[in-house]
Amino acid sequence: MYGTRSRPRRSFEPSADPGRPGGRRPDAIVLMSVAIIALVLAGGIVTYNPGIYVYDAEAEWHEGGVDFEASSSAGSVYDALLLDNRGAVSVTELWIYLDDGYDRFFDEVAQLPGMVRQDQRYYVEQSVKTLALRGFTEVRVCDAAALAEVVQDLAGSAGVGILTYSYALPSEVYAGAPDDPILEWIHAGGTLYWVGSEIGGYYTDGSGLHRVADGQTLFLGRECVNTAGVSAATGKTEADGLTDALCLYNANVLFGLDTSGLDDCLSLGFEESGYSSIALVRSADGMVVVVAGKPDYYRTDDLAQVIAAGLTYSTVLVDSTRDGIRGTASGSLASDGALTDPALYIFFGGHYLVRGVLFRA
Amino acid sequence: MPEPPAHPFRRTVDWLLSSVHPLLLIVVIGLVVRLAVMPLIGAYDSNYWAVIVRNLQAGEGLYGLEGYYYTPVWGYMLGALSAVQTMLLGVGELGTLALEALQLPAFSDSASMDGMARLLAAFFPMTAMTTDLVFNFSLSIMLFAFDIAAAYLVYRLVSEMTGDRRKAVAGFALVFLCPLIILTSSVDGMFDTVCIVMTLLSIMLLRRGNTFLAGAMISLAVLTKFFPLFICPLLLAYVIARYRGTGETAKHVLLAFAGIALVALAVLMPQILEGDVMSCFRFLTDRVSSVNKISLMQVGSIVRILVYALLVPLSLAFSYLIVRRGREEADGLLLKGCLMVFVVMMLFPAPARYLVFVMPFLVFFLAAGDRGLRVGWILISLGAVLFVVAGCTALLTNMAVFAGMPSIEAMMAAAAMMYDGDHGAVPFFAVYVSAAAVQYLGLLAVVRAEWGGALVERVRARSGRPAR
Repeated sequence: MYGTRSRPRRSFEPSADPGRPGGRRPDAIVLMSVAIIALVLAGGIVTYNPGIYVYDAEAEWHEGGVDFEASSSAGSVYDALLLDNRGAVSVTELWIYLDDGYDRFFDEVAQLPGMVRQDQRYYVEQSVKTLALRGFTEVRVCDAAALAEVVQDLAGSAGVGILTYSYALPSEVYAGAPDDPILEWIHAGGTLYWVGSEIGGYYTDGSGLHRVADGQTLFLGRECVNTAGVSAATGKTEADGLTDALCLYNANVLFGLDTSGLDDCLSLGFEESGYSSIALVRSADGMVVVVAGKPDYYRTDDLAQVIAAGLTYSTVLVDSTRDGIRGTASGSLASDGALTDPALYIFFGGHYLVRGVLFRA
Repeated sequence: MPEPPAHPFRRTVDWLLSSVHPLLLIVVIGLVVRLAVMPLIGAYDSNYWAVIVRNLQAGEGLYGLEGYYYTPVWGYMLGALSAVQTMLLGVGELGTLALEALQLPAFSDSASMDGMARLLAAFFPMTAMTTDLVFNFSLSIMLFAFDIAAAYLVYRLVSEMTGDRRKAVAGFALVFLCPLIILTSSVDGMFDTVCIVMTLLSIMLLRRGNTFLAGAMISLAVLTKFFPLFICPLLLAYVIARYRGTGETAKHVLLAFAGIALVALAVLMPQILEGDVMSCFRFLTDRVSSVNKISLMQVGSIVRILVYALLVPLSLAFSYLIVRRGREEADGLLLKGCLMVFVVMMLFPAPARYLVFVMPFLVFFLAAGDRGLRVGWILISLGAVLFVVAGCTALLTNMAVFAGMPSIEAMMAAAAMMYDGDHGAVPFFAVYVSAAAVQYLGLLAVVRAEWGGALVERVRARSGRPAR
């Protein structure tokens, strides 16, 4: 312990006045302290003042293209994308399924390669927020009972999406049979967004968690999910420039799809061993979207981009532009040919997206 | 009889003192070194800061979107920096994805279940995201300012407590030119120095009798990083020792607590208003986990808790000494207590930058004349340099992407040799473990310098052998 008697103890005499002598000029120590407190408080005000960073965009459609105006109160970069869904119906209303049995049964699937427990509620909230940032606000969170009601409405399934972060669906909508309500609902025009596990692999009922051996085939027509634990992607998919244009950045293919051989599908993002980080697959009149990766903001952001930009398996990038912005900028995007189902997606910040908005013709 | 030639270090200090302004010279040298190594700023952490800036620019504050796991103070500083960057410096896009560097995170893909890759992910996570050079530069400039502040505070402390300006200048140099401090701000891009500046300010304000502001600064420090929490008993003991017998003890203790409370309230106000204060402490928990990680993390956490548990009696013991020995020895004991609490804290192997908390106190005693601490300073500094060597290939990502120096192909080839060659990540770990070992020896050297003599004497006394 301090103060051994064998060693001469060093005693530091406090100076009579450690501050600046004379006392007229303020002490540098006090000034530094006040400056740091001021810096922190000023930063706090900037951080929580919504009026400092303001982004806006407007669009006006005309024959063969669109004129737009974007504005940003701070230095940023904007991307404007002219997309054409070519007849496939994009999602305008989203239900997010919150599985109350997620934690209860997770231990039964925890040993699967690459399976990661996530705070399901947190990531549901994150999806709501990241979608709202991109102007997509028709989002509702539902439980198993509400989910069952949603999938009963076959006639109104077009334009409706269901997003699940869980590894299992409730038996009310899925029990491993080809005519299960959720499969019927997809075939009728609904869109299922599946994130973070093997699609169709499990369902739950009152007796517990059940494996569906051919779950992938039921949803996708064949087995093509990356269940081997391969995770990091080292290349980019070829997708008409959409990956770059949308500033996708989730380079992870855990539980992603190998879409080779599948008809009417779009692979986006990044790839490894044939698996892509995002896959949009047509299923009769509807669509299945599988977003690969681990629970992190990369995956959440890419998922939000796909939904907010209204992507479908048939979406093509018609035209795009990108520029730095501070104040207002305007431009126009056009198509050489006829547009069947055009949309303009403008977002600010590039890979570090801060705002987005979709304009439909 | 002729005088023996002066020690080279002393001659250097004399030369510095005879120049126009020695501190200015040291600052210039230190800044040149920092600017030279600044391009190495790690893409992983700078991307992380960019994500936080993105989140607050999106209007989600610090905790609305995923990315920020610390208490709010550093986030607010990034908020202030963001305003300057976007309004004055014209930073547009904060960064981009470097497709050519996608292999970097793949090296540490823990899902592949390869043990070496998993270790790499844990110790040296990498990303293909690269941040804008102006963003990096402005971030570093802010951190450099805190480096200068830390060195200046040690200078003032040494000057005030020894009355020897030469020693004070040496203290300034030993902090500002310390490779560890340079590494932390210029290469790691981390804010540990910010926290240590606040801690030092708190100590110096206490010495000035400004207990309210001292309380405010230690509150800010703890809300930046939790480490200074363990020296709070020492600060309280110092107040008691300093004002004992004056009838003002209670007043100053209350003033200190008022400063603590007021700053804590101001800093946490947004979260209090949102009813979500716990989001500030989310770093205490983990949102994701896999089966394989749990056991490792749990073991690590238990050991860490055990080491940190040692800090409480240690801090209380020093506090007791401060109170018992009174005002005369309070300053020295306070600083010694801070040094030893932080040293023991780091005995649970910590990232290199955490040792920043040790350095100012170590330098204080070193500059004041405790030459036994030289070995500690040298080893900790050497370890910092080795850490840079271990990560240097990945650290070149930003420069390769934005400046083409080196070419990204050359950088990736070097990275592959380091992290994924025929021998896995062995070259990286060989250097990395060496760096960690050297730094750990540095910590042990500090422990030995401070306590080793006392232990030896005690053993000798018990065995009846005379002291040497």
